Amino acid sequence: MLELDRISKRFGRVTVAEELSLSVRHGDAVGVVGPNGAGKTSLFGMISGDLAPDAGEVRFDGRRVTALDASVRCRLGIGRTYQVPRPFTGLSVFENVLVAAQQGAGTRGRASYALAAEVLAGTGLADLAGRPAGRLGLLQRKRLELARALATRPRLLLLDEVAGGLTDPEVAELVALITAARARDGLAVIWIEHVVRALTATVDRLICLAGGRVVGDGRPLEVLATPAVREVFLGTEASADALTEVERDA
Amino acid sequence: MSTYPTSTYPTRRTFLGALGTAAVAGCSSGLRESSGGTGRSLKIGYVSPRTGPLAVFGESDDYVLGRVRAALAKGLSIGGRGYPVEIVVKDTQSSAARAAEVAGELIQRDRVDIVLATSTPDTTNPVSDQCEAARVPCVATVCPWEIWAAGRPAPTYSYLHFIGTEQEVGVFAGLWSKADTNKVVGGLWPNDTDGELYRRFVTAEPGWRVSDPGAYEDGTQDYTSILAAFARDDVEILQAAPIPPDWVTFWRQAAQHGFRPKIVSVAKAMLFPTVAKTLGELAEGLVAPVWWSAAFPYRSSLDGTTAKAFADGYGRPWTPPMGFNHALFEIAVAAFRAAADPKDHAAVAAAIGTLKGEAISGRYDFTAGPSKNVSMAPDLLGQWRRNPAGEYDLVIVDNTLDPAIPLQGEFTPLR
Amino acid sequence: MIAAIVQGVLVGGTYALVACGLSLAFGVMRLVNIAHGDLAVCGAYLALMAAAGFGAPPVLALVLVLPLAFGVGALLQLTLFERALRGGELAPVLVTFGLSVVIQNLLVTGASANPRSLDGGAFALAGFEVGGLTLSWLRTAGFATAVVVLGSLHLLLARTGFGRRVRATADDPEAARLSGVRVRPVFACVAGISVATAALAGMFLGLMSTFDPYSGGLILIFAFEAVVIGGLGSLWGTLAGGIVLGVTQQLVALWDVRFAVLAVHVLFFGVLVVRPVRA
Repeated sequence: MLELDRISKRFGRVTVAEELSLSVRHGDAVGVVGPNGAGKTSLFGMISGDLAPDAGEVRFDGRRVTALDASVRCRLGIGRTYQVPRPFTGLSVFENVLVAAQQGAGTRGRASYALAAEVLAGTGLADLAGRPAGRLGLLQRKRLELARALATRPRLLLLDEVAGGLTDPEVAELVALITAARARDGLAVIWIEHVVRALTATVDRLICLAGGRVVGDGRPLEVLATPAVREVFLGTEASADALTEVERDA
Repeated sequence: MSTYPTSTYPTRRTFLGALGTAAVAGCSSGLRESSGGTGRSLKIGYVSPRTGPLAVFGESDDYVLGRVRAALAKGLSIGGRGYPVEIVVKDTQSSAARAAEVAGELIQRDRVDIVLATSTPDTTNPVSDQCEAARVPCVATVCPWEIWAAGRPAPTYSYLHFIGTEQEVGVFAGLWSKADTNKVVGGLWPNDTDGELYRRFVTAEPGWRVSDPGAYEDGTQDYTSILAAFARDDVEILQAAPIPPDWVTFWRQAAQHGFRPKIVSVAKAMLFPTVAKTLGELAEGLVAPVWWSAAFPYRSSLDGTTAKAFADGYGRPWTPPMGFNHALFEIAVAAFRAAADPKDHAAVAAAIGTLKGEAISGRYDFTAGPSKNVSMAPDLLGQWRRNPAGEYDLVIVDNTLDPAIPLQGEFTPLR
Repeated sequence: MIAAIVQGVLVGGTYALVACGLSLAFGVMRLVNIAHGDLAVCGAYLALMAAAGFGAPPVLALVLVLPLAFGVGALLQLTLFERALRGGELAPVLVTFGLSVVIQNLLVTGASANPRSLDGGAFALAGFEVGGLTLSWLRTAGFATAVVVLGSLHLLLARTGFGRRVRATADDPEAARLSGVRVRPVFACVAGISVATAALAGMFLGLMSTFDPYSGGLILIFAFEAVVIGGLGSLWGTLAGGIVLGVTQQLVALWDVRFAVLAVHVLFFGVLVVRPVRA
């Protein structure tokens, strides 16, 4: 459903994508790992429409979306969360989700309220519906970020480090939410994560990015075992630890 | 905040003048030799505010200049020699600093033989100062002579032909005594040079009790407190010197609050027909000074055009500065003729001081002014009246200072 | 004293009416619109043209002027402000300043520098008495209009889907896009509303006083002060700011008329010093 065709993007001398090609099928769950500056978040930007590639093409359902506005891509079915949650702080939790339900999913009136309520219930935010989004804690903000993305009824969901900064039980809770959403809506997910353990437990395909290129793509454990990926990961100590942990789990 | 006619403080003006003097003095040594050296044509520089908040004064410039250019198209014949006449026009953009700058340009780059300056102290004073410094003759108008003469050294090269505020207050007071009132005069005087002059002269006029709520800021939107003070003092005569927009605001609020004195005399704001048109019915019966109107029985000394024909040719409602701006050119031409050599700046400047004559604006006399180099124009009073066509005319009701100008009606109090 | 406060509140309403569009544009788009006052003046000229062209009284002219002003605002946003807003903090200020100069010069060319005014008929000149105070109908209507406009804007923003989109976009335009909000039309509508309220305010000013092509500057200063004193980008704050301006002016005038306007500027300056503006 999603195809990236040799996209390139530079910020001055930093290359975040170089002739990068990638395709994701309906229902896929793809994890993306890579060191800082590998181009992971920029990749999301180019898929969701925040960022325009210098060259190459982005296709969604066979349609060229490279030049389309983020709001249009959202309506086509691409949803995204930010690494650092960006709720509309002046709106209530319910309103945050309602905007997404009306604008992103294109529902009106009663249907939009029902959708918003359903998503809030599904993400465990129903009790907080009336609270101003600016007064939420981190976990709640992360949930809201996810809820808002889900309320747009995406067919492809881009998750940017949903687990970062959360405790293990909290991560488990979010992973369960995502798994449930996938099971229910059959949506495809591309998931960037530093916490590799959370990833390997959920995804069935892992991509490793470095310097704007794909250095590994395949089954998670196999990818992690390739020398190129190991080399990339050994560069950073924290990631090396994570790698060891994953291997131990396996 | 003061963005309208005749509002410059002596201190600021003096400062600008000094600045201009210094600038021109620096390069005037080369100028003196070149005076009279720019061929045989006579060049006249004309400085006025054509854009900016004062643009209402310069609005008729294109028309006035067109008439003058047509009248002088064949040039002047002086002492048996023919001189083509060239007019160079500069816009002050309603700024005193810019006025000084363009005067400098006229003197140095265009090498004009005389500079004419008009409309508000922001134009007349910096331009006159520049001309004094560069020793170039200058004639100015449309600025009360008290403001022009105050705070500067006795002028040699610059002259002014216009009315004076003290004289105007005297004429107003004469009119006030014609009606039966309690002699309480309310003063609506803003915090600018004109306001200060009226406050000073009206307060000094014997026989009247003055109610003065204080100098408000130009641009004030609400006059409730002033109206309350007038009501408290039982004001039956109003004397105002506001800028046009403030007057419209004030007079409408006065109507809203039911304040209607017997006599309302308004300097400055009610000079222009457009303001009367704006006020509509509220303009009826307001008294305003008349420096010049289409009804003046005078002719252009250049081509004999009557004031009426001159005003009618404009195609829009005439404005008082029109006549005086035209007169500037008449005075310039008279000065060229009176000087032994029209290209000799000192001779032309000296010649202006001997002039006595008539222009489309009326009589001028530089030999017997109230101050050096000043020729005082008479000030008449008019009352705004609705004509059968539904428009408002300024009808002359007082001609004490120039009985040659016929009265057009009787003064009638508002109540 | 009481008279001064009541009059001050009424005058403040007029200030707030001018200021609310400025406040809205700043609150939503971070647009500091230097041309706001000039757009208000344009509104007054449009009403004048409507009155002259169709013989329409000012109230009917509204029907013509407001939609037109809305369209102009939306168009300005799409063609001019949008690009300027992408150009950093200073660009919108410079661009709208340029717009202000262009409007002034166009007006001078098209309508001459003569002061004009709108004829509101007998209503505009009448007053009424309440508890010994004489109040002007026009001022009272101006205040009422300000309250109604601010109130409806508040309801529009707080209660409607459009309002939610506006608030979401104001919070975070990128995140709003990702939630499917088409940001351009939202901004265009907000700019349209902003200019329409400016035109409405301009018409009231035209009824109360005169305007000429250069009146915009003074209008902008008072509006700007009301916005800053009331707290940036808050609608009710803007009303409060306008009223504070009006009452200050009236109370100081009781003591000495000379310092009335100065006091307002000093107050504004004081607020800036105590609570500096952060964009």
